[in-house]
Amino acid sequence: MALSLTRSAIALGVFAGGSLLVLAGCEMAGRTASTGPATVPAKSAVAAKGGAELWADTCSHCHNLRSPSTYGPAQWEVAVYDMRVRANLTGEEQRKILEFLKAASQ
Amino acid sequence: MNGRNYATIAVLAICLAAGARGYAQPAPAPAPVTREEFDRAMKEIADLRKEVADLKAERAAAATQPAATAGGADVAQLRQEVATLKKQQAENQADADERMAETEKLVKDVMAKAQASSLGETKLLITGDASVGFTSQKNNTSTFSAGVSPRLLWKINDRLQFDAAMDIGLDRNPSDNSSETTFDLTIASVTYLLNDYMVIGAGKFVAPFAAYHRDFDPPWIDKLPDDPLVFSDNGLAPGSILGAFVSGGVPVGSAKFNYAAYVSNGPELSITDPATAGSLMWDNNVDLNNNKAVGGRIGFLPIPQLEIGYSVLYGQASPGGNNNPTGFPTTKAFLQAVDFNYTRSSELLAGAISLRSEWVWSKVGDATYDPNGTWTPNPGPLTFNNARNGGYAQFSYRPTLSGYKVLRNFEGVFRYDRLDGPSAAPSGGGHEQRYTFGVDYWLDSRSVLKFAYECDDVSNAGGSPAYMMQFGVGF
Repeated sequence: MALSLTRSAIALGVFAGGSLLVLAGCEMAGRTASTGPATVPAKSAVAAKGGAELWADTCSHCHNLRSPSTYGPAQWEVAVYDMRVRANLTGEEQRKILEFLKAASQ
Repeated sequence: MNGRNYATIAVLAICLAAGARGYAQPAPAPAPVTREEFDRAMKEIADLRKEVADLKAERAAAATQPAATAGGADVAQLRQEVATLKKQQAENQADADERMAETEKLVKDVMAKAQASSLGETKLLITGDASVGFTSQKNNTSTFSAGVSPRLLWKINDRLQFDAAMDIGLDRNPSDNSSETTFDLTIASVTYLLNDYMVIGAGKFVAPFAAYHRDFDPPWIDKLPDDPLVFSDNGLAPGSILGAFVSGGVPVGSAKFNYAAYVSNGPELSITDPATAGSLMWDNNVDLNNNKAVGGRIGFLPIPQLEIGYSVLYGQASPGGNNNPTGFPTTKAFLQAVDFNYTRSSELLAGAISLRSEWVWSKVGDATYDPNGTWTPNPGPLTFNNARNGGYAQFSYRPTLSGYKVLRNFEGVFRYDRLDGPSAAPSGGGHEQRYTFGVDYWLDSRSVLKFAYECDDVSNAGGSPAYMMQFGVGF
């Protein structure tokens, strides 16, 4: 039982450390933003974002961004469908990202 | 002027001349003229003068504008006819253009329908990944390795897609240095987009349990050459499972949730090999106990760069059919996992950082192993607390915004991972933990050359540090 508690403590420690790093990152990011030339309201809702922004946000969360020229429009249709399923994208995210990639691939 | 006018003029002229000559001859006895006759004659003269004047004017007008009077009507008529013809031609052209546009649209529609229903390359995408590597580990023979995992994605229509993937590799057994080529069907599933927030699917699919197998496993995504212990072949987390699932994502204000729930055939319980007794295996393709395992994962993204997830799986674990000669009882398996993924690109850091961490807990119900006491050197019957856990924490940094161009393609990685087994298990249990330091060089966004040094610490066995290299590519 004591060993199990130790393991749990290690796991919680890892997550606590990670959370602190994230908070520190957010803090640093906030400072960086405050020194920028203009204050732009944060656009966080999916509906307010364009395809390029959603593509950068969602895809780079797990892997490097592939160039839009990697595939043609028809191939992107298949690839983005796959990422809709695998990365739990919403239908709106799928459509916007696909629209961007199809336009940028040509 | 017509001929009758000329004749009238000539008659009048002769009459006048004759009148004049007669007036010059000696006059006979003058005949009496009445007042009425005189007035009538004067009127006739006035009329004749007027007619002569009109004829002169008409002749003069004819001399100055001969065309206007002779061909003007014809030209106007011709012009009108030309205008009419032009109008008809324009109408015909517009009609032809309209018909041509309709024909082109019809051809496009037919081609689009034909393309949509075809099995051609436009709807079939061949993708996947591959890797080659080399490992040199203390107390083991150094070896090369290679593997390829092609994937076929077939989009049947806008809502339906089939996904097939296989894992072709070279397995090596370190204990006797034997090897074999392996061919595993890792994915064979069909998915249907129910609505904007829900997908359903069935077949063999990557288990939505934790995040590694689903998100980070391919060698062009994984930043180190090997898997964390808990997600390796002898780890705790399931890879691919056979069943059905529902999943999706739901935005909530500025945040986003995602979810997945599934039912599957469930795990197999290892009971015959003392080295693995009590562990769960996920590569069975049949339901061993007619009790489906259920599970799910829920993820939360307060910001796009951060995801925190919790996974659970519950099911009954039974030995395989031929491995259960003694009627080994079915036991319950309960697994949980938490996962954490944070990525950020910052000018302040002159690059991008990534922090990933996952931990898995596994608890299998009590059972009595080796009831007949056949194992050596420690024969059963044996019962132990079958609880295991393991996970990893990984940090990486790539100076993508560095002023030195040569540095932008390098990435430094550090990972700590650990796997704890039950100390009373016949395998001896204990723990294994590793510290891995790596440097990656990205040739492009999907091709990476990895170098890593791994310190291994196994309880009761000491460490076996390893040097690893791997080239990973996604295609």
